[in-house]
Amino acid sequence: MALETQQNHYQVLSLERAADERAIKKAYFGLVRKFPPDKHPEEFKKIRAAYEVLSDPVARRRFDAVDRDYAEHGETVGATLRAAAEATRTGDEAKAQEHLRTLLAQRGDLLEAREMLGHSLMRARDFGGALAQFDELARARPDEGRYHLWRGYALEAKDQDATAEAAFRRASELRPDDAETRMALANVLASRRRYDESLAQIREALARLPDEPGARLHAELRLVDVLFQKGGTKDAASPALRELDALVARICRDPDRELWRYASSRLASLAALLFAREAFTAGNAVLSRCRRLNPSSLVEHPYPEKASLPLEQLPDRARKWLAARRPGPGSPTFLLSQWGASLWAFLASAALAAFTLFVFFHSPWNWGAAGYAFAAIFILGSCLALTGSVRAIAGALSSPVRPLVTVHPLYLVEAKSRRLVVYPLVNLGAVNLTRHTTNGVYTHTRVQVAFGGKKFETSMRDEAYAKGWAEYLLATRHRLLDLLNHGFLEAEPEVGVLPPGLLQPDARRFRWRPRLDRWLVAGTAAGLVLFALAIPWNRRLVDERAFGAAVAKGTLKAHGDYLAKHPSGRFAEAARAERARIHERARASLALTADPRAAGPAALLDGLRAMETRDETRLPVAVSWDAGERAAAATASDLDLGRALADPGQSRRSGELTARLARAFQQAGLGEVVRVEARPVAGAPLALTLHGRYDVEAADLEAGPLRLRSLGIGWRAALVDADGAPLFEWEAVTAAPSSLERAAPGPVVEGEWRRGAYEAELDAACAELAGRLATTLGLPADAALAGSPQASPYGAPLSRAEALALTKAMSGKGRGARP
Amino acid sequence: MKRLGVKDLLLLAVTLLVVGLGAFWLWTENVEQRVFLVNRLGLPVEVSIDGRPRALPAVALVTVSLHRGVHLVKVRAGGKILDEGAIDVPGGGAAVAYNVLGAGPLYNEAVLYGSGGNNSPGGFEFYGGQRLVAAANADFVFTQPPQSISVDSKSSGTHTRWHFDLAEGGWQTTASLLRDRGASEAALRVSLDVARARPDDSQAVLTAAELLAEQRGSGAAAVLLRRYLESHPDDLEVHRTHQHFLRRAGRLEEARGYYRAFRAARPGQGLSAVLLARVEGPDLALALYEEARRLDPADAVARRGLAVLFLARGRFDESARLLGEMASGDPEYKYYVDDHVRSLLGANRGAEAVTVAAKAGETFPAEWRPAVLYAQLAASEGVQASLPGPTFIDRITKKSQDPEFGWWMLSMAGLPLDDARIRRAGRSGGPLVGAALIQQAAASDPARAWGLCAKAADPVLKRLGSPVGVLLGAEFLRAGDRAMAERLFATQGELNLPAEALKAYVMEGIEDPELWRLTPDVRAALEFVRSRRIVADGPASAALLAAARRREAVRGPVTRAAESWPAPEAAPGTVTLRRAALPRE
Repeated sequence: MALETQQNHYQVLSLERAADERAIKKAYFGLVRKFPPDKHPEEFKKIRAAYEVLSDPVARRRFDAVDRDYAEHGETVGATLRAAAEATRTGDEAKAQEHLRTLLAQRGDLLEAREMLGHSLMRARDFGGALAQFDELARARPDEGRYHLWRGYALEAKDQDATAEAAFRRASELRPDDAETRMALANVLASRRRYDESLAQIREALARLPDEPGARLHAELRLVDVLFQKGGTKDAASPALRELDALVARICRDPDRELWRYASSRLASLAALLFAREAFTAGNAVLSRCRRLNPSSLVEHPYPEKASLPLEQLPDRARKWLAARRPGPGSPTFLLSQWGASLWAFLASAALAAFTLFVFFHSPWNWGAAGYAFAAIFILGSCLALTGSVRAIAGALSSPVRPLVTVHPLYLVEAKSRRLVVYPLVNLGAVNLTRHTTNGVYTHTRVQVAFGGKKFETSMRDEAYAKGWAEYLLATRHRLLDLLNHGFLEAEPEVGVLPPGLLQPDARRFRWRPRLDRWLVAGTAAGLVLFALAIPWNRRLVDERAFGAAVAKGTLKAHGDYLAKHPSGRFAEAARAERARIHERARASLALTADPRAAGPAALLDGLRAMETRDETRLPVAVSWDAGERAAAATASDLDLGRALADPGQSRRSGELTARLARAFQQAGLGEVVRVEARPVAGAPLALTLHGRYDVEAADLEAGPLRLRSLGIGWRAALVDADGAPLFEWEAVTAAPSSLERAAPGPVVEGEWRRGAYEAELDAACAELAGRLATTLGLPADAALAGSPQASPYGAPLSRAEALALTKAMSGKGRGARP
Repeated sequence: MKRLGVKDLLLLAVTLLVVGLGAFWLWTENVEQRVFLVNRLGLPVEVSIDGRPRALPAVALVTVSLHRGVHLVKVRAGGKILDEGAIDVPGGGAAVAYNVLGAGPLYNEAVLYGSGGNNSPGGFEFYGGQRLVAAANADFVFTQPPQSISVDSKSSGTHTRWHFDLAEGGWQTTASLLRDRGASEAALRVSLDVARARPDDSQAVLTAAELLAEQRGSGAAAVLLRRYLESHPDDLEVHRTHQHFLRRAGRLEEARGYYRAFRAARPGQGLSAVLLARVEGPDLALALYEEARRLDPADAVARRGLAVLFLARGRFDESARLLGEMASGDPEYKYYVDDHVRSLLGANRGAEAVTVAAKAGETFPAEWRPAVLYAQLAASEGVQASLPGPTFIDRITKKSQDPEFGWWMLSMAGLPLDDARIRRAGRSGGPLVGAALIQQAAASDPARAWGLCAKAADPVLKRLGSPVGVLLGAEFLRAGDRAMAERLFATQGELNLPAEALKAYVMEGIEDPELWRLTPDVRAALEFVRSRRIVADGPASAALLAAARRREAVRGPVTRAAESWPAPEAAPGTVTLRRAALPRE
């Protein structure tokens, strides 16, 4: 079926001239379904032209006015007016204007012709020409409100709002009961941000309109629009919404479902205006009311700023549509890298996993609570990251869609391997293109597109394509809003490909569902298994490192420390064996070193075995002192070695004795198993006790005024076991030094020589005692006798610089000590 | 499924390659480690690592791959366990070697490359004595470094590479180097382990004994040698060393008892007579030597002993006769040239002494003793030398191309040194330089010598000639530094008496019956210091000084010290207080 070519708009829509707006819209949508634009483009064009004129009350009145016979003006004038009207009806405004100008040249007073010319110029968007005609009419008939109204329209179209307001006010004065005039005045007042006055005019208009929803709908929506403008468009609980909800409620009380759908389309038109003003929240708030009025609409729904949905939820039609997208220089579609992000994620997660495994399977430190926590977090995290990246790669491999970005009439669409991300174009804000160069050479363009609070970003390596793509995106949005405004969006092809119902926030609201992803399960399981393995592995490493440290030191103490911390460690047996070898080496060394004439080595060997059994290396030396019968003499003398050794206040002297003994043990190769200590050790399996006594006859010496008392000291020494029972006892006598020299002539005064000689006297006696103890125990006596380095007996023999210069040669470690 | 593009495949391949390389690096760097097994014991061993045995020949360098971490190692030879313990193998790409008993002379040496391309030695690390060696920065492992290397053209200056290798020689080199570098305890451990591993090797036990004497005392060395002698009773060299250490330990009576029993068990054997003679007093020794000569007139050992005994007893003609006989056939004559020359000088046969010394210098061109002796003799009063004093020293220096050795010989001979050169060498030189500096100072100023000795390590002091070492030790004892004196006496390995005997003589004038065993120059040094000790006694001191100079015979350290050292301070009015000797336990 085809529409006849010479039909007027009523005939095209099969309507009578008395048909109201609802009947017009019903007829239009019925015909659109019958003649879809992709199959009947010519018919659709006529249907849409008829609907555009008849759905607009002003245009309809003009059309009705034009479609007359004009017989009242006589044959010639009437013929010219009919010709002009016919030209207007066919859309040839230039021809219509030519006829009318010719007529007005002959009959300048013919107001109807001037009205027709003014309207024709308005339709042709020649607002200046139209204004001139309406000015002429207003001058001719200053009391005709219509002329002032039209003049206001022309002025408003020329953005001369103040003059337009005056014209509308004049028209309103002349036609106080005309709702159209008040609405026109309200519009210009809203444009001038005088919202309250505008709202008052709309309410005045509403008061003059019949009380039926269809007739009042336009004004009521305008009221809501102005309320939105007044109260801001981001406030969802604004008076505008209250007004809107009240309006919807009123409509819903009407049983006429056609009215509901019509009202929904008008609300969508209002939403389009709001989206155009980038009042996305308000626009979507309006559209959300559409769902109640027209739930079956494909387009009259609120739009989220961004929505993501799994590919498997896409209808077949959408998948086919996506598959049909082809990239190209003139296409809004461009491909994304299929693997890049997945592979980089895999690389990063593999690196993380490697790092984690390296750290936690290579960590010889003892984990505490924090260590376990870190290990669990890192191992589980890296396993999940790795499985996640593998899953992404697997998803890319099995995806039915090649990753791309394309532009749908309603959305910017980003298709990924597993999900589809859509950005509704109604929410499109700014599009920013940033040109990037390196050393002045263009590299790429960074594209940033704002959708309300969300942002889509990508890079393009073709600057011209980026500009073209951005322009296409903006043009698509413009067309989208235009179609939404005029209620044609529903009929737009491809709208049904991605129904907005899929994107509704309610459908996407997060709800936890106990559905286990197999990748997640695998990653978690792998992480838990690795963590479980890491714990004993760490203990094994700690054990091995601790023993490795003991091996590196190779000392009895190091192996003892290892055993103390790891008594049942993997290397405990080896550590015990090494300790036994160290003890055995020490005993072998003593057997070599000990003088066969000495009486003590056998007891010392027994003591060493006891120390090994008790895992003890400390050999305490306890010194006691008995002044004996010669207490008075002892008190009188300063050469009191016994008191110096036994007195805790004389710790330096006591330390000197133990240091000498320690040197003797060291030189005998026992340094590793015996540490001589001056302080008592509770329960020590072996101890050396010394008890000194003035029980040796001494000779009194006289030399002039100097009187010295010889200090022979008898020492009773013993190696005792843990119970204090002696393993071996012996006696030693230390003589006081054999001579004293004083390099001063004349009489020597007691007290004077003491200061210079006292320390040396004690040193010599201490060395002698240590030497005798060592000799008896079979230890090298020379080590016990060796004293600390002394100051030069000759003064300062070398300059500091010379001493420094010769350091290398004197160390014996210069070039000579090479193979 | 979408087909992969070339770029995607490339990215995937790079990713897998990176992951794979990372895993491989982690494995190789932290799990597996190449380990060199080094055996320089000179006998085949079996190294068992974690129970897996590997046979190593007598001289071996074998590579194995081990996990990083601890391994239990056991070394066997001939069914006997030589060593066991744990090793901790490090990761991280270091050059790692397991050195059996620590006997291999492993080292890591820095090789410096300059812009000219020639390499030269830099830093040096010695790893001998260590079981497990890990050199973190080795560039050339068991391979000779190249003469030149290629580097980035932008880099300039010196480049260092490290050469990890084994030095020539076996465990002897290791023990020697460790000792020279002051690691005597490690040297002792290596030598004891080697001696245990090679129970029939006299060289091993002698080396161990020498080190044992330094570390544990002469008595310990004697015990070790006696254990060896139980299974090798005819080893003369070990016997001699055994006796030497017993004498140094002051255990002469024990030695006499041992060798009397030894002789009683071998009544008709010349060796037993000679060995006993070496520990008996001079009269009995003379009889024993003569008995040995009767048993075997060609017994070189008896002849040597007799010659030295005649010299010590002042029977210079007889001594010179025997030493003259030795000159024509005894391979050890080179060690007796000094005695020969002193015998001739004692017999007033100075011209003959010069001839003997010169001939020895010609006959033994690599021996430093005759060369130094000739230089000392040429510088002595009343001696007409046919050749300049330093002739033989210069020849040895030139032949060895070792200036440090040359300086040391010159200092031994008391000849002037190139002061500037030796000072420069002192900044990086070896122990011979330090010893040369001390010997040079000892000729002029004891205070300066003390300053050098105080800074010197034991390897330096060990390189002092015995006369200088004893001279300085005795002088420092006299001056009041007993500790320094002990160090100097302890480091004079040729001394065959305990230090106590020397100290008693210097400080108290007590003559130990064994003092006659000291060589004349050492005895002269003691007498010289004793004369300084009793300087207040005036005539007695002067007489002792004259005797010391006579005993030295050639121009040695005593003569030089007597000429140069400042006289000791003898404060008037010194009060010496003596205490009654207390009974010793």
